[in-house]
Amino acid sequence: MNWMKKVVITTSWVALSITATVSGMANAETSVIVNPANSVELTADDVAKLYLGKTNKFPDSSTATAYDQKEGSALRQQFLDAVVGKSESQMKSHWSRLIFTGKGVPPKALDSDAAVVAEVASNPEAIGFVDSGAVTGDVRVAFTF
Amino acid sequence: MKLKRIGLRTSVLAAAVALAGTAQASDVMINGFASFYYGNVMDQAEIPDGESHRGYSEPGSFQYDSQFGLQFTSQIGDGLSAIAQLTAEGRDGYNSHLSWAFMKYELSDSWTVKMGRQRVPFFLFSDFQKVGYAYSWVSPPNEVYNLGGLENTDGVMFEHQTDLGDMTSRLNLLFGSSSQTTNFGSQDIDIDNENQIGLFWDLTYDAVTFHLTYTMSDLTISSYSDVGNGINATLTGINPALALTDDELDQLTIDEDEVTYLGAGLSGDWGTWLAAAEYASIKIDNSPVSGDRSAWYVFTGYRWDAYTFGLTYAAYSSLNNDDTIDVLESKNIETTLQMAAAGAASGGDNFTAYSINQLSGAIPSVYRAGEESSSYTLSVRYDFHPSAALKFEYIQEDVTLKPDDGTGDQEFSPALARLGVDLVF
Repeated sequence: MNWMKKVVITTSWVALSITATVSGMANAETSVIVNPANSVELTADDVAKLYLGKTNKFPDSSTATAYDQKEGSALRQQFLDAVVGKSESQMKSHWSRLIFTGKGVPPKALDSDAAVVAEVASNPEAIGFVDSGAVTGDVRVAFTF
Repeated sequence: MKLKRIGLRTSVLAAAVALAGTAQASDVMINGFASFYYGNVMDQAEIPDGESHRGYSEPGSFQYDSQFGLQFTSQIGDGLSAIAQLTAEGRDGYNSHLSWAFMKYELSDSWTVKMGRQRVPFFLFSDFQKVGYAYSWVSPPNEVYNLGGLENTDGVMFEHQTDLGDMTSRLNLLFGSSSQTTNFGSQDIDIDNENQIGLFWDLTYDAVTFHLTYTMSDLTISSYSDVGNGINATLTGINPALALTDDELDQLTIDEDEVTYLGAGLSGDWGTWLAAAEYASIKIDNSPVSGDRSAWYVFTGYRWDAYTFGLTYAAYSSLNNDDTIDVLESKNIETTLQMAAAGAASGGDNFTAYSINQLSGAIPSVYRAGEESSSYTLSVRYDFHPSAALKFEYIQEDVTLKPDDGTGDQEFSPALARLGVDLVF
């Protein structure tokens, strides 16, 4: 639960939303997943940096490709809130700054949990987030929240 | 210059067609942004030049801040990408321009090079200045961000990005030049900015970014040279003994004059609270304007649900060049021109009288345009849609015109309200 400590320290209000998430929807746990070949340890901060386009590398300097979920889904809103620390419109505003300066291309959004699991299972560089219920043995869970 | 403009537009179309043609083949990402705004100045009598203020007048209009932009990004692979941005702005009659067209290549993990037409990152928000969706104002404070046509440049930019502990440093080195025709009211003005060298540094720590800018270039602005050379020719025509010396003429023209930009800024976004402050100083050697020009602003914003409320204070100062005023007065230029025009008119030479009157009529706006201003801006952004924001902004400004011609300062208090929508797609 190291990652959780970090989140709580980084932004105290995130702790509130995690608590709310956990108590409100005890079963709706979300997993951040990577390819089984990828053994790197990830904190929420590391993941946030990937989704904000601040880096395209895992902490061990290997190349990372982040995959997003469809806009408007509860899963995505929770992920952005708890891990990235932004609302959906703040996220869009952030990315519009990067897109329209030629600095970056946002994570590609896939259609479903199954599509994210399939991509991560087949791509050693991939990272994604899905409902924990969708996790299969073909991917490694980096952490859950 | 007309030919040049047509040429550029044709090439814009060709580029767009070429990019569209390859869209299926090599995965070209197309992103767009648009803004549609209505603006109204509250009291026409408070507009300093009597015509328009920040692009608006009374009654209001929809043109000035309305715009449409399309960006084509192609990631060719192996660190190479090509980016083009087409924009059409209401203030320019929605004529489309290729604002940017550059290739980007990652030389190494930390070095990137961009070649082509690109935006100069003078200030914190310069890179995405046209993308209203990316910030909470309708447009970033005019006092600092109005560069009068020097926003883009053609050249090479080297970027070095590195982590310094918990901080990220981004250093940009620019070598470029720009040449363009900008339409100011009824007049086309050629602006050439050559031998441009720029150094831009961003240091980001957590939610805070520090920005530093230093650029140097040689600037030529045709309108100043036209008026300065016209005055000299007229004086010489009246009496060769009145001809200006080279030094005096230099004070009346902007002809390859060295420009230095200095800027520093700090911004932070802590989720609920956001803030920014920037300072900019522009100095043009031996030129009638901006011998001493500076601007700054402070901004603070507060997010509540889907709303962002912002308050900005900005100040601007651009004083007349004392040496220019000295030339006008020691040579008695304004009176001499008026007498010459009157003389020509009484002699029946209406054409000469008209020409000289045009010249002397330009002097106040060209050489005696000293101005100080300050403004308060209240802005509200409402994210009513995942891709669009509704914004309202009210700017109350105090402007003091300082012609230094013995008639005293003139004060105005224009207020502008703008309402509209920014979107990205």
